[in-house]
Amino acid sequence: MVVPSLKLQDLIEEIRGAKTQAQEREVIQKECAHIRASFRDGDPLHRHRQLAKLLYVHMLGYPAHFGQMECLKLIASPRFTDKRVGYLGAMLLLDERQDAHLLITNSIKNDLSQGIQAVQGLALCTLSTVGSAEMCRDLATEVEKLLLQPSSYVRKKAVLTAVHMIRKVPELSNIFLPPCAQLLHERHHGILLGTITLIMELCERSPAALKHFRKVVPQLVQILRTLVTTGYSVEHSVSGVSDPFLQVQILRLLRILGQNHEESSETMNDLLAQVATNTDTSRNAGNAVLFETVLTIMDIRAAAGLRVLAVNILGRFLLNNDRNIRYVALTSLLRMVQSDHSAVQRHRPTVVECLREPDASLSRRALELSLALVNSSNVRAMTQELQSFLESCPPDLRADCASGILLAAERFAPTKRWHIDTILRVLTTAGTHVRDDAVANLTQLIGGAQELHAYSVRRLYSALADDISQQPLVQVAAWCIGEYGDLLLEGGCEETEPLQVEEEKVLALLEKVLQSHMSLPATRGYALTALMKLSTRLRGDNNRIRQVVSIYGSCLDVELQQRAVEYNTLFRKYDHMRAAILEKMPLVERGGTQDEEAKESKEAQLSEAALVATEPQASKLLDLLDLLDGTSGAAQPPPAPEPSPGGTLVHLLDLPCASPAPEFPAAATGPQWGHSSSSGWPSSDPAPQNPQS
Amino acid sequence: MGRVSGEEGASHVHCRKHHLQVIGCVIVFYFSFFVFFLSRYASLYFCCAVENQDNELLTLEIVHRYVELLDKYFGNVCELDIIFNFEKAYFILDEFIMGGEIQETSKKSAVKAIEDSDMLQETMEEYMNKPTF
Repeated sequence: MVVPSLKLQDLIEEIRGAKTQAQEREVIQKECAHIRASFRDGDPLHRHRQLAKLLYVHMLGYPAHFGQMECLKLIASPRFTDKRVGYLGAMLLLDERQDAHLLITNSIKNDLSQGIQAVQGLALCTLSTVGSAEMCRDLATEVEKLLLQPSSYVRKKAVLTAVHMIRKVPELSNIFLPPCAQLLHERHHGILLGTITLIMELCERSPAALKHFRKVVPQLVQILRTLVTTGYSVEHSVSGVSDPFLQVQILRLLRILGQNHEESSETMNDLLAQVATNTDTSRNAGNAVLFETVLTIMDIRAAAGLRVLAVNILGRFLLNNDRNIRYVALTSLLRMVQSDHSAVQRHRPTVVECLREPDASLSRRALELSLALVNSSNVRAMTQELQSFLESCPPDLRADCASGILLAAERFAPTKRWHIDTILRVLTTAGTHVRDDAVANLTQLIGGAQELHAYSVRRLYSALADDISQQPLVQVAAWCIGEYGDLLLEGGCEETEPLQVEEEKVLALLEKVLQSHMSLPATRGYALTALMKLSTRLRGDNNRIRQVVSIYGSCLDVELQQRAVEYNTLFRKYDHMRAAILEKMPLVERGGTQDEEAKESKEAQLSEAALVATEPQASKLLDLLDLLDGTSGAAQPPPAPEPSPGGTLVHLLDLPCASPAPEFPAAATGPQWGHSSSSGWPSSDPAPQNPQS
Repeated sequence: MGRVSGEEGASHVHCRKHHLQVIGCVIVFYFSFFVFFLSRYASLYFCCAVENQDNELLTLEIVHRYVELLDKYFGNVCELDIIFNFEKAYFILDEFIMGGEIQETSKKSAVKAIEDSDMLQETMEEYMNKPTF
């Protein structure tokens, strides 16, 4: 090999000089071949250079596994330069999954016991980065010995290696627990930091260790106090805060020790208050410490005043210019809102301000927190804010916001009218994003508020006239117009502006909904049924309605077609029953499958009757069929029963008739009634002899 | 804590000296157990992954401390310093963070440790051409 190998920096230059990906690959392939050759039979003095080049190439993402054995050789070499690069290579290339991994154990062992600090440091570093459980077990005693070394440099690294070992092999806690007490007396910040991390690991893995270390709480409090009040040292401070890294770590340990333990919590109360009030918050370092303090206060059994202080600190964070700080504040407040509700309430205005954040993750957290803060006293104001947020919020938050508002309205609505208004506004603003049961909830709500029927139907009519694209709104409006059409046409309603509505306009609107390509099949079903109901509510003749209904008798949509056919038949053959069947629906109880069916159509009324009906009442169904059969009082129209909640459906069946004559085929009775089955209506029933005209 | 890696955002060849200024720090996203941080110093981006329970604001300080260490070692560090001395960047990191935990909070001590190691290397190589690699 005549060409001397490239220096590392030259290689880097060459790679960076490559204009295209292909060129780069070429350079690297050439060099790797070179490197491979030199690994085989190259000059040992320059081996580290070859490996360094290989590591650079590895960093760029190219394969470098052939360098693994080279790492081993370099680690075993007596030269420091070799060891440095060799250990780096081991950390990058020889993780646990590689076969050659265990082979470094012996080298590490040797390096741990020879006297040069830097070398011991390298070995410890590698052990704590890629050490497998096997390796940790083998070398635990070596590391334990190093904890007593005179050199603080080595002790500091040994402690953190112990942390790693415990993570890999929890049983080793036995070895590393005893030295902790002594190590806590160290003055060296690095060692102290490592010790606290070690104690944290020990406590997290064993309740016995946790109990043991509660004894050191006073000592920790003292260390932190000294640090905060007098421990200012230039080399450890960050923007005027004494060693924030150490402070945060101590606070974390205190949190673990104070959790669910009254006595320890009490010991730290004063200190936490002191840190919370005295830390300089002009720079991020101070805020980091403050944040950790707040987290600790939240998790231990802190005094009430301290918790309020913590919430107030978070409230202050919300006003900070730095986005990151606002972010952690919102996240933490969300955690505290259940346990310290009234304290967090005080910051409600600020939280609501955060809704206007341009940043999506911030506004999402602000939304969650705002929804959690709604209660009966602030529901009107909060809903107002949330509604305006809904109008301008990013699409992925719409669904959550809409359902949040609806939920809050349900829980805290001051009046029914306000509730209806709120739902209406949500449906108008974000109709497509609401949950499926919003429609059912609203119809149930309106149905239950008798005094508001006129108001609701007018508002819904106006909303529908404006916009027929929001499906949930259209569905509710259609249902309402169908139910309360008479109130719509009556005129005077004090709560809304006087609205002169003509029958023709109403019918036209419903037809428009039926025909619109934007309407879902379900919506069209609602519209058709509404039209049908209007045939009894309106005073004019029903030609227009009859026309629409007969047209839809040949609609392609099966559900619509069936309805239309049945309504058609209702017009033609059972006109005398029409008023009774289409009268106002009674209020349905919430919950259960009975709801959905009841709101769909009048067949559902009967199906519910069928579900409600127990065996003895099945005979009443038969009575109805009996009547239609014409065996008794063929020409006699049934008297219209008075509406009464709940019982009306049964009354419908309670029509005068002869004694039950169960001579009909089973197919016509009970559960099949009302669902899309061929025997839905008597007209398709083969049995009746004299159908009514 | 995962390893910190820095990459240059631009591919200029000439060295741009700049004062250490954080241009933006962002808590990027939560991904199962980790939170990813992105810090930007001129055209250098530092990405760091920490666990859920780690203090987010402190992580920003950690990244900043690392950059300060680089700055102190290289003297007004720029991207090319890191590119052409990547192994030094690793060595410096290994003096600051070990096994995912902070080991040394004193800037002075961390840099001194690296310089001592460099000395150790140099005395062995004093008869060879510099740079060592």
